[in-house]
Amino acid sequence: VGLWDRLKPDLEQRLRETNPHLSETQVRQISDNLEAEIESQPPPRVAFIGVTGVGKSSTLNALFNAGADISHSVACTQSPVERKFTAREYMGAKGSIVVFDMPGIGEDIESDERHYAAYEKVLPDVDVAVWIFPAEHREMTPTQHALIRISRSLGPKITERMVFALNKVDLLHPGPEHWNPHANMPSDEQVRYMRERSADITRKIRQVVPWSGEVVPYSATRRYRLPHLMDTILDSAAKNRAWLFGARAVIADFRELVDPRLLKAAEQARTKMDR
Amino acid sequence: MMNAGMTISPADPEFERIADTLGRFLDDLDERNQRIVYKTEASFREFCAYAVQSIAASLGYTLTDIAEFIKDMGASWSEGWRSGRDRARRASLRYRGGV
Repeated sequence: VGLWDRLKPDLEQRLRETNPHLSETQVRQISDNLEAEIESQPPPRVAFIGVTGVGKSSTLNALFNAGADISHSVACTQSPVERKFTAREYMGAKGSIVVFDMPGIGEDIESDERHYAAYEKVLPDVDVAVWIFPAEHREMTPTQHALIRISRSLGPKITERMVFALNKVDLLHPGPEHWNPHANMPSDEQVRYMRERSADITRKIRQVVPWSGEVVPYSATRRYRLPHLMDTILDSAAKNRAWLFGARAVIADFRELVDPRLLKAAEQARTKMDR
Repeated sequence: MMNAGMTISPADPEFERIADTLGRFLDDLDERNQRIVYKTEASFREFCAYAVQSIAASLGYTLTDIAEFIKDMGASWSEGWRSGRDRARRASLRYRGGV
């Protein structure tokens, strides 16, 4: 709605300029209908896929509610298949988001089969699926099997709406004590390892499905690289639906977790660079 | 890099290096935030363009220049990207001036 308020005058003006045969009443009528169409758009639908504890809820909070808990949610109307997992409509700071909480795989063969079936039912129906990997584990074989199955049953284009992300990079090797709490950034060694891990996951995904993206390393709780994650989500959504995510994005502020003196020095360093 | 439990002050020999690293990261962060804003706007404009076409048809109006309308929006998008970057840069400079 904020987008509409901001862009309405420009859109109306363009409509007048490119279609001078329209009367002012007709332009207004189209504009009013367009506003109604915008307001009637269903909320964005996102699936978060990952094992318990990978940080699906904290990621949701960090992207759409400035990091605060989204406590209010309602269960969505679900088909019989959807009842096998959680689908809820959350009210973020700027509007609602339908979230499918999808289990991770690798627990056991029987569970994995159920989860594959759930993926196959849900993924065609979401705008974006964010597949979150835990920083601590390197096991990729179950994910590769799942991607092969999904790609075979839904077609390889399904990967276009997938975002692969590596959460909790603050815990990466050599360990959480190497995270710099003042700068709220990883140590040089963690950065090297983060790049290696991301490249390794990217390579293993590309071994099994046609996918040209890059894994997004981030930390929801540290608010580290969250805009990178949102940017990738926008790239993965359909062009005429991406705005629904962007309009609802209220990304937790990284700067709030940085030592103010260091932040001031960093901003001054940027000014010097500009000069 | 300094680790948890340590304090930091401008007198610290590592302070400047960390500030530089943080500054480069902030550049990257701000660039990403700008991209989010403009991708959102571009997507919204595209949605509106096609919705307008459909609405006009349902009302019985002919939009002779809908292709141009969409094209113009595309041009606006790229211009918006550039001018937006400039706006963000100016805002950033103002912010720094106030620190």
